[in-house]
Amino acid sequence: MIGCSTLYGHPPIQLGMSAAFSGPSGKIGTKLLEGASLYFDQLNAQGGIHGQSIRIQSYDDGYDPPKTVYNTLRLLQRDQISILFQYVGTPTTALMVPLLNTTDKKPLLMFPFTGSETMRQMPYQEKIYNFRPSNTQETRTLVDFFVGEKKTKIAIVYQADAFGRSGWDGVRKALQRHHLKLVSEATYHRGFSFNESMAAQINILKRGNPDAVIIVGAYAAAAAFIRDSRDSQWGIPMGTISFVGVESLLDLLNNNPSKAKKIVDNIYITQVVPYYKDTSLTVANEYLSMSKKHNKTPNYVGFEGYINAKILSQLLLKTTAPFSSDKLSSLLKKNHIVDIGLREPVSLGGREHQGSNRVYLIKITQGNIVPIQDVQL
Amino acid sequence: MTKLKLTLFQEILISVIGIFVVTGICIAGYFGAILRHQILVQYESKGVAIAKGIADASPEILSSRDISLLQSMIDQFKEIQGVAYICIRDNNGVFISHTFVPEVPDALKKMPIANTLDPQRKTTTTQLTLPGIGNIVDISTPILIGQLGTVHVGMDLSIIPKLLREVFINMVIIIVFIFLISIAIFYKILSRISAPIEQLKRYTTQLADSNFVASKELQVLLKHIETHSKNEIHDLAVSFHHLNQALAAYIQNLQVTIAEKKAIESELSIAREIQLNMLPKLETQHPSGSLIQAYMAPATAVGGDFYDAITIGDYLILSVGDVSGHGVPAALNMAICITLIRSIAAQTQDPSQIVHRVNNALCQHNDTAMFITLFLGVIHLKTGRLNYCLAGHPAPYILSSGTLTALAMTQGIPLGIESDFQFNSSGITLQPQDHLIGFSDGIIEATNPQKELYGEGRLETTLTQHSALDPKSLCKTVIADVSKFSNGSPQADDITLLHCQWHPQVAERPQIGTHLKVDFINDISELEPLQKVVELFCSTHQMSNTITMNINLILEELLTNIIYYGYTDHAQHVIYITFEKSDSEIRLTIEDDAIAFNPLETETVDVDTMLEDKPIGGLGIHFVKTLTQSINYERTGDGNKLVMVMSLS
Repeated sequence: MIGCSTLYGHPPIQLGMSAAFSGPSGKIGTKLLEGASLYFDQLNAQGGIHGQSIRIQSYDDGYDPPKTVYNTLRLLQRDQISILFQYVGTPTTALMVPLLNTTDKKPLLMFPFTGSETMRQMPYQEKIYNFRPSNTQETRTLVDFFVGEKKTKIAIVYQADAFGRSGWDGVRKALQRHHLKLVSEATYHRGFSFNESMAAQINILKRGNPDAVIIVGAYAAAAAFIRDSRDSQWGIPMGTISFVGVESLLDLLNNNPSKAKKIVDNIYITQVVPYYKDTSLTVANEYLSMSKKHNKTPNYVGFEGYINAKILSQLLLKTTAPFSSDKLSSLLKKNHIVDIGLREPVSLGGREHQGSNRVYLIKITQGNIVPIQDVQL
Repeated sequence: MTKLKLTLFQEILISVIGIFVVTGICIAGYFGAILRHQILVQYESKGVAIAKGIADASPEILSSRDISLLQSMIDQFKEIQGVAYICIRDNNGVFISHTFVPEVPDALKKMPIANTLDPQRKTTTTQLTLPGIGNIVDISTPILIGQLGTVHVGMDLSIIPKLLREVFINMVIIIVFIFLISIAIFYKILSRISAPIEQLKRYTTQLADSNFVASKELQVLLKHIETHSKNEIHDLAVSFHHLNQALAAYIQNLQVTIAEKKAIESELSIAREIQLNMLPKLETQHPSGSLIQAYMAPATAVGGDFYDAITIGDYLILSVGDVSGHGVPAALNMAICITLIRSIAAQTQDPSQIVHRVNNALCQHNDTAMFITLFLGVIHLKTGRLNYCLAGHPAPYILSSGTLTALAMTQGIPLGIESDFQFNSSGITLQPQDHLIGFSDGIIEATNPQKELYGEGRLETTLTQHSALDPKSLCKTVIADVSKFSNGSPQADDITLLHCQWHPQVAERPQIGTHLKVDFINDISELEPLQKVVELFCSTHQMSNTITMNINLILEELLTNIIYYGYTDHAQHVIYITFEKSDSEIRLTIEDDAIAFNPLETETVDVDTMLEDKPIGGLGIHFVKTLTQSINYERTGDGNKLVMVMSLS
């Protein structure tokens, strides 16, 4: 799909990606792939990895966990791919990860788009390398922020699955650190579309009379919740985490014909990558220029994909040709620090194999992104 | 073919539908109940298995790893059919993982948190109705003996009716399928059965059309059915064969019987005609002057009842009788009886004498031990004196000026029983216009459908109520009343009614002038009418008895001579006698077409000679000559004319 022909005699380095390219979370996979491709295309044009180009084989799972498992088996067995890259979603990836330990392929999962603790814990973390901080870190950032703002009565609406549960658990634990409890909680089903109503959930949360609401969900559901809250004159601060894909969320809210557009405000979102317009960062500048060059709209998710691609490429460049996943594995076990032009080099070592512990908090004011915090956890 | 087959088929179709419906309902009801119970048990055990599975897997996740894995696990179990929800609750009552959207129902939140120290904690099931979910059975299982919380699995009970419905629909489809196959099989079998039946039907139809004489073709057809059918149809065909033979024989027999019956009926009809002809048709005024009306309806073609009214001189002899039994024997006895009465009554007008003699005559030749009841009454037409005798017969009624009385009984027994029995007679004197009503017991013993008798009471009432009617109308009224009372009940006995209204006989004084011409025929019986005419003429003109006697003597003598000797042939001839009276004399003229005979030419008779020696008519002519004043004979053409003149002084 991406990448080019074999220029230097070796077959391309294949990366397998199963993600949502359709459905309510479809934009996440698309943007993530787009961001990674911006980097790989440029790299491949410059000669790839020791003459081997990088190619991503991607399959759409529509954010449906069983499909993710099916796609993974396709990638591993049919396509003979051993590096899985940028899987999207917690329930999807969580269902698939046992495959990492049970096939002879010894595949690696590089930079899944999930903050689930599962990817950072035994027995899977050995085969998984993350860049983004965990959901727990993101939710803790949000909770700490709200508590700091004296918003101690916190409610949560979350997706009724492993992802939502991981967010719920993160919020709960963060609150426990402040000796606080959730005042109310509600769930919604996975695959919730923007056209559906969140009135029931809003009514449930209102019973706890919260000061702030944390949304752990996909962008369509989060946007629907914000829209219905604002429509019902419920203007309290709301926070959510990076999984929403802030631009996708804002696209829905800003293009929403209802009056909610006017009050897309007082919304706090944690991000796992710095603001892509932060020109003080080399990688941000690269990303912006590449986006401009390929006529793409820059965004947080795309930027994360770009960063992921760059980290992986820098690692691969440290191996010898021809590429093998074993070479990458052994490299990662000893030399796992690369500098891709962020504030500090990225280290994939440590118990959790997690490249970044920095969470960025942004605020949405009048429909616009305003970075407000940058927390190193 | 098909009317028969369709009917049979329809009947079987209805039966099969009935059997299938009943069987279907029974099976559906029975197995539905069993199935429901089994599904429920299976369901619960499925829920228990899931709950235990989760509970067993949970401690590891809870103790060391991401809680979202727990969620991932229960989400997968949630996919299992019939699982409504799964949730895990810790010992603080917090639902640390659940599948509810948008929130955990209150019913579950309110469930008590189990005592964590209870080592006996086991899986429990509770039936709940949750809003938005429906009826569920909640299965709760402790995690690590309850130390880490409880797993709740909700099994959706609404799936049970759904499953049952599916099973039911499948069952109905199978039953309908089997039903259709059965019907097809039945249709096939019936077609096989009905073909020979149809042939048998054709056989019987054609047999009936051909007057039950089986044609060669039909016999072949029956033989074919007999040979080709092995089952009951074969037996049926054989039965048909026998039936046909028996029927043919019976019809032949019947035809003979019918012919015989026709002959008998024809004879009976003639007998009835004869019997009715024997009875006088008394419908209007009797020559005696009294009004007489009679009615008789035999119970069978010929009856044993009779009535009679004859006039002997000044006497009207009335009889009503009832011969025991009915039919031809009774009718014959009735004929004997009526003949006896008529002949004996000509000799005596004493009712007890008549009855006595009739009885004796009947007793003589009564081998069949038949008896007859009889009322015999003799009315003196001038005086109205009624003498009567009852021989075991119901007493007639006298209706006098609207008052009804029965005649007194007389000593008597039915006729034909005891020879020489002395019958008593009795008598009353009728007033002018009094009614005498005689009847047979057929009237008073007429019954209605309730088996009640008409009885004397009803007869008396009817007679009294209609006493003003004339005999004919009264008679009709009584018969109509009896008929109405019977109301369609068959007539058991002959019904006879004889009704006589006495009018005193007025001496007939026909307007006879001084000139009277009367004609007679050449029969000796004409002497009686001649005597009457003479008496009538003489009494009309108040002539003396002597003259009357003389005229009688003369004319009787002369007419006798003419009848006996005047004709050589045996043809009928008319003889005219003319009476002409003047103040002093009477002229008698005899005209006939007999052989020429002049009485004046006979010699004067010596009255002293021996009677035997006298010539023909000699003595008679002598009287004639002696008694007449003048006598003149002339022969004109073929006729004789004799003119005599007698002096009235």
